[in-house]
Amino acid sequence: MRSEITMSLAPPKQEPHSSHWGKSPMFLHPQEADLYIQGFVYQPEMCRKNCGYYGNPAWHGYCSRCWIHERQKRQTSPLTDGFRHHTGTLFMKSERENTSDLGQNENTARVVTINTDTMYAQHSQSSYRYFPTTDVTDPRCFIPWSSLESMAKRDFSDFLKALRRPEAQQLNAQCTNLIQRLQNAKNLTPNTMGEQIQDFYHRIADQFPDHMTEERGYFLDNIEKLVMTRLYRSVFCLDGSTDEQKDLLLQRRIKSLKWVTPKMLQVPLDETIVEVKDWTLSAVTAMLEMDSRRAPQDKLTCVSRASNCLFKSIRASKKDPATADDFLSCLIYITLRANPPRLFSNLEYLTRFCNPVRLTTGEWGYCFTNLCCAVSFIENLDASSLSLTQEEFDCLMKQHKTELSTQNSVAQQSTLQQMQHNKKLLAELQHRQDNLIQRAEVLEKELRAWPQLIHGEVKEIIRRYPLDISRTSSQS
Amino acid sequence: MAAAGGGGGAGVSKTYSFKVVLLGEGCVGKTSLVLRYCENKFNDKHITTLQASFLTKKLNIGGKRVNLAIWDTAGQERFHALGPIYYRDSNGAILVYDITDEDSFQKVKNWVKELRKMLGNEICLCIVGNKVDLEKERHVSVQEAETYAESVGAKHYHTSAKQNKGIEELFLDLCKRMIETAQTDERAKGNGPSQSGTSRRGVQIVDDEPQAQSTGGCCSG
Repeated sequence: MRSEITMSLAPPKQEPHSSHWGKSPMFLHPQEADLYIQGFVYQPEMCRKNCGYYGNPAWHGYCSRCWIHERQKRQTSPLTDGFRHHTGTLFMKSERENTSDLGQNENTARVVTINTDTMYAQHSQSSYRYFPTTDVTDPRCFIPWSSLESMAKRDFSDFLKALRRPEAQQLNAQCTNLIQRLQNAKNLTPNTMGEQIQDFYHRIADQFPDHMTEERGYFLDNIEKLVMTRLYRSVFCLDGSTDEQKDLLLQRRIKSLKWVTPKMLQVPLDETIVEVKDWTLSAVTAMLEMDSRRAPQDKLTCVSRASNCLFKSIRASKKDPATADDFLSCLIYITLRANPPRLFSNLEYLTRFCNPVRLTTGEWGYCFTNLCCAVSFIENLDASSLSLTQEEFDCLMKQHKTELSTQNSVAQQSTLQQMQHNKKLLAELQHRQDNLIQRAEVLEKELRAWPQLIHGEVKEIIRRYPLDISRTSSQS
Repeated sequence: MAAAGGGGGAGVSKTYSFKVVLLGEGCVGKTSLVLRYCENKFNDKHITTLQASFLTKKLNIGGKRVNLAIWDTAGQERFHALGPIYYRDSNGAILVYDITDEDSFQKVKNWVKELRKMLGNEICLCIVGNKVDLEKERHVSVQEAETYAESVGAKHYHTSAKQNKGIEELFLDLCKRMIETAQTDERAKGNGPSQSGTSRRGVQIVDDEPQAQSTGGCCSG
């Protein structure tokens, strides 16, 4: 019955629409989607239970009585309650302005619903794998709440397990679709890809009601990890990209600032204390590790680990909680020290592909913001930011180049010394081994001689004491 | 349209997340202020936090849950240019000066100018004169500070981190104003898009109506 309604509303568009959906369920062209909004919002429908009353999309297509009944059955009343609220506002929105993003999304899903009965048979042969789900009649909820809930946990492996369940297949397919589409897209700039990914996150986030911010966060984290781990190679610091060049520039810049001392940066670390030194080194390690991680959240974890090491380090040096000034100067210092590979690309990657909530709020957000500050400081660093005069600054910059070569020769010398030392040790070892072999040979000779010796002795004894027992016995 | 009632329902269950940046020159007592607020300690050996640069506090204001994230910012002159990176997406800013230090008040004025330029009216500003326990050495007159605050649409407070004066009120007041702003915004945008806003950033405040500020004034007055 539902499909009839839609057919009558927009018959000419039906065919292209369904084929479009066949390729990518989530992304309909706004203009195509618009046509449906009218029909969708204003068309009254009967209750899903066929009780004779009109249903309301805000109640998942039930009438009010059936919906209350249904909700009680589901037992997850807080969830559905929030969801109802969510649905309601969406409708408000699409009535007001048709260009709304949410409206399109809703509509996209709607087309799916409509086509389920009639189109499935026709399209089952097409390349797209169709996943009819139990809850497909619901406009936006492409996975049931029970499943959504179990996927909105912190543990990624639990999420992957839940993703294999049949009811999550539609979500799985949508993720795979997105990944394949972006992997095959040749002409997209990283920024456009970022926008598409953000769009995708956004649509998923919209499924959660407002009060479930935490669950939404975890769910998005998991989706992000799933998608970005697989997309990493196709989007991160591509060969010949401007990101790559900027990475090199930044790396060279940091190298040229090797002469900057902790004192110039007013770093409050006292590295003569072993604990402080250890924590600082751990921070450097964590910064270096960032590049090896794929998922944005794992990179962020590295940054926040580095920050925490620094906090401990500062605490150990000055016995006071670290202030923002302390922290930032330390972060600049370890960034200079670590010179993390592809730093610029990593920051860009995070900005483009990470869930923005994570970048702007919470501890991750704070650490990331400070890292951005540190990089910006390094890029724009001049004499005044180190409280030096311009001459001193230029002088140090020049000196650094010559220092580099002398440092190199010093380094070479120490390496040579080490090698000679090693050579000596090796020679000694060789000597001792030779000794050992000689003595082993002697021992072997002795061992070989031993049976002969025994043999001779036995012979000698036999000769001296010949056996004449029989005779003596016969005599007696 | 009846569905709009859902907006009211959301008010009950929704948790507001606000980001507040702490701006001010080096030695005005920003850190003491925030440590006093979150730990209720001042110059104490037993302060348990590792750092005072990023602190969070959960509040319940009239049945509304608020997650407050307080971001300390590097206030030294050499870090001045980094300001915009810190305060983007903030809902509120606390600008601290030392009442015994005229310079620190000038710095606050610079910050205000910058904040208004970058974020417009979407941010709740608090100008805070700290160290009122040193009243005798005051160099910034109360009159001047309050007139200035009013002229830029900010609220002015006097605090002493040492004596724990005025700090609780400052944060409470700020939270109320931020809730007010967020609600005005929600109403203005019909609630729907504000949800998507939430997923994009903490709480989106796009102040289409200049009334936001006057309501802030009402609330406190």
